[in-house]
Amino acid sequence: MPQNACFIEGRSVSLFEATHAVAALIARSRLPVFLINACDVAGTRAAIRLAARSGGVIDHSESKGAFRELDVMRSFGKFIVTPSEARKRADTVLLVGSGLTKLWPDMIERLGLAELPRLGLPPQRRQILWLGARGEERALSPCATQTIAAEDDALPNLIAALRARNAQRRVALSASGGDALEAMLEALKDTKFGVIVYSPASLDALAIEMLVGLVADLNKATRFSTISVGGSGNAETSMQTAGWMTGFPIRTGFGRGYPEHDPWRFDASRMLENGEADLLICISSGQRLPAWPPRIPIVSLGTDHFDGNDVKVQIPVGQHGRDHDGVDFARETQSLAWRPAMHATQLPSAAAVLDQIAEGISREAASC
Amino acid sequence: MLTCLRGGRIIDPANGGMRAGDLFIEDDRIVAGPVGRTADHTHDVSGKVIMAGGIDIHSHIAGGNVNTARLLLPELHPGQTPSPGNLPLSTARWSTFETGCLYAKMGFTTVVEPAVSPQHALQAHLELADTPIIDKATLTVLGNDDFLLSMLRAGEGANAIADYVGAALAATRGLGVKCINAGGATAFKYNARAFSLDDVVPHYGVTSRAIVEALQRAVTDLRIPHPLHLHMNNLGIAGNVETALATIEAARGLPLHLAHVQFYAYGTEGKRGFSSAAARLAEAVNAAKNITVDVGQVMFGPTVTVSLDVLRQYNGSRDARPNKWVIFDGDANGGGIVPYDYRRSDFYNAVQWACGLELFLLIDDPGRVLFTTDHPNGAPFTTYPDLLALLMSRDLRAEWLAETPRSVAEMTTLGSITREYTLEEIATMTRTAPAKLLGLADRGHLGAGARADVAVYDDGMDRARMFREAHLVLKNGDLVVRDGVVTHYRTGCTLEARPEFDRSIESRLDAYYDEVYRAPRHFFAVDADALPHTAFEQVCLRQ
Repeated sequence: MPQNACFIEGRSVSLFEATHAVAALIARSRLPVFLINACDVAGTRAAIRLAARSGGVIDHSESKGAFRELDVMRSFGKFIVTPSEARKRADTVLLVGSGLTKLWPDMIERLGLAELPRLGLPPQRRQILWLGARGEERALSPCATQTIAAEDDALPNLIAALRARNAQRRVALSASGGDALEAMLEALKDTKFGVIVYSPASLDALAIEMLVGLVADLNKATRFSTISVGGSGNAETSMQTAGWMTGFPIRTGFGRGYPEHDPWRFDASRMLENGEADLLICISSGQRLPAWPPRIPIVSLGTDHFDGNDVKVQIPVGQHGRDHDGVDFARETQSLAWRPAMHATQLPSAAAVLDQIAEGISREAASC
Repeated sequence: MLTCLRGGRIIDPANGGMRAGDLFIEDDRIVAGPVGRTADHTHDVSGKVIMAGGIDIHSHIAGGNVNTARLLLPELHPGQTPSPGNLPLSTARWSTFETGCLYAKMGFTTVVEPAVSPQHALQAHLELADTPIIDKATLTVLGNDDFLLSMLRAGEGANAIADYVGAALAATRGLGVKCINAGGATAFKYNARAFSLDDVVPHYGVTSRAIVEALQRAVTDLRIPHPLHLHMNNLGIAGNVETALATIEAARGLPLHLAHVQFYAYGTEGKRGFSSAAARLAEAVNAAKNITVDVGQVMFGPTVTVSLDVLRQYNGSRDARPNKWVIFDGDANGGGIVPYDYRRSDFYNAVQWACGLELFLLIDDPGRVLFTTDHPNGAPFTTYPDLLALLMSRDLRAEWLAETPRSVAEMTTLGSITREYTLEEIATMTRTAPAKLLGLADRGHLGAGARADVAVYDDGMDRARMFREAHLVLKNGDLVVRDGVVTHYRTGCTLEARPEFDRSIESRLDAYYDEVYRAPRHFFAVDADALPHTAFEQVCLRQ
């Protein structure tokens, strides 16, 4: 079977037939959901254009963590530092929670945890503090100069206690726990440029807000900022692209002819579970997605299968940076980055396929 | 195709001022009145005012920090109106699509995004690619970057620095070079909370003055048409007029553009220690012919401040309205996004408003005081029509001034200024002067050979209404606005300057990126393949 074979209900068809079939599905749909799984800027643009045209909804499969971050930013505020600035400058790095290296395998190297800051003022040093240390992350242990062991569910209280102690308020902790916390706070205050690294996977929005509050307080006397370790970073590609095209992040719907953003209403998973959507277009699927109860037609632009779901139309698309050139959000630089194809193939890009689908919709409209 | 705009009042300061008559357009160019040919298409514009398309030299319309502002404040821009089918997303508020349409409706056809950091240039250009109708350009921000500061610390010569600036401009596809609080953003990373012209950046041992001088020299040596575009130190602080005066002095008679000077026109008089020093600043600008400025006018209403002056933005975050902000310690400048609401009833905000108008009215030469609100920092660009009306009517200014706190009039000279801008002066400030300052020979005027970017306005007494919705707008000869309504999208070009430089700097930069960013330099480069729908157009370098 050729790599670029398209299917309609398991039957091999040409790319033209497949895109035409998707166009017909979209034209008939009352509420199509465009769910991005992994896509570059060009594909995301094409998906947003199509969603806007069809009165659909745009979301990303990694929205949950991304919205935890965004909600703290737009209700409270944010301090952000790039990994390269952290590596160049940080004399203190506070790691919060465990599992960070699992989410970001080259974190230790990217943040230079075992190096001295190149642009730090003398005396040069880099102290690594770890709040919420757990044994399984052995790679971090040799770096850490101070650790406080804790499970994830204890983190909010510990962060709150740090903030309270920094504001010279009393906290109810055991004597030994209190001493360790005081020592950590002293280390934080004895910092020239500090970076706090955490993940929305182990902190809820209130805990993240508390952490940003601690950073705001510490900034009154010295410099501090944060790095959030999320998923693949691809949700940020969607967030940024939707931002300039619509003024809003993803979880935006176009049913009224203009973009409306509502993180609950336009949560793709919720819509699918509740039977609100009647068509799912999943773009560049890099991972398996769960089965959704009320079965609706699924269009898959990608190569993977879906557990328990019948894919109505399957169109293989290439992966940016591998099969074709593309731009996406790079976690290592906190910016959009240009990724030339490593092994260019003939597989069409998601953008090209989505544009063909759009042409198909125009043809459908013209023939009516 | 030959098009004739018949019987209008042509306001064209670059070609002799005002004349009544017909304007002919052949394809995308203005042409002299053809002999023996009749126009294929004629628009009767008798009684209307014709100007070249407007040029905005300083408006933050694209890039990562602008996008953060969009995401930070969804409550400020809810949707209201469905987009017409042929103009998708044109009513999506704060979107790039809306930006292009709103500028076009006002008769503006070229806009400069003035703060693009090299690390985020690709995103800025992707956003500009989705900004329809208008032509675009970017200014590349240097002066807080480790590479330049390290060169200065090491005492590298002017040639090496020019090579670096040339390479940075080429990689980012910029039209010119901007410097924002030279050294101040880096000093903030070393915990400085204020930074002046002669303060020293820790670690690097260089002053703000030395950075500005080095960049000014590099821009001159590279023959980039637009002079160094400078956002000075100490923005927004009472008494900072001294910084502005010292910076004018520091220019040593060489060309220098000072951005949004309204934010530097503050004295310390009065019981609140905050007053307008705009008259002093205007006097200094009048005397220094090497200096051009744009104003950065404040207009009342909610907005968001977006700046790569992260030190200033951190200090300003205390006064955020509503109380939320993003402080980004990014590579080099970083940036800060702080929402703000300028209130007519707020003494400080009203003095700021008055300062801007004083500068417009007290700087004699409209060719050296350019028209900006530093969008969105002083106000959104959509307030331009109201601002133009204020400049053209002392009565209107008096009405507005009367609605501010009484003490405001005492702290400014605004109430005593009688000057009213003429249409010719407006055209100079918004067309001729920015074209000249950016080196755009075929824009900003309506002489034969000029690009057919043309705005036709109803000549009404209500100047705000006149400038809000143009009667006709042509972009490259293509009619894109009729009676204030955008008729269709077209794709504008992106202007860039490509000076020559010694390419050996490239391998040094590649090695630097590998070491410092641990990412290949092409990660950040504005690759033409990443922008398939963008046509770049090079400006001529200075002779």
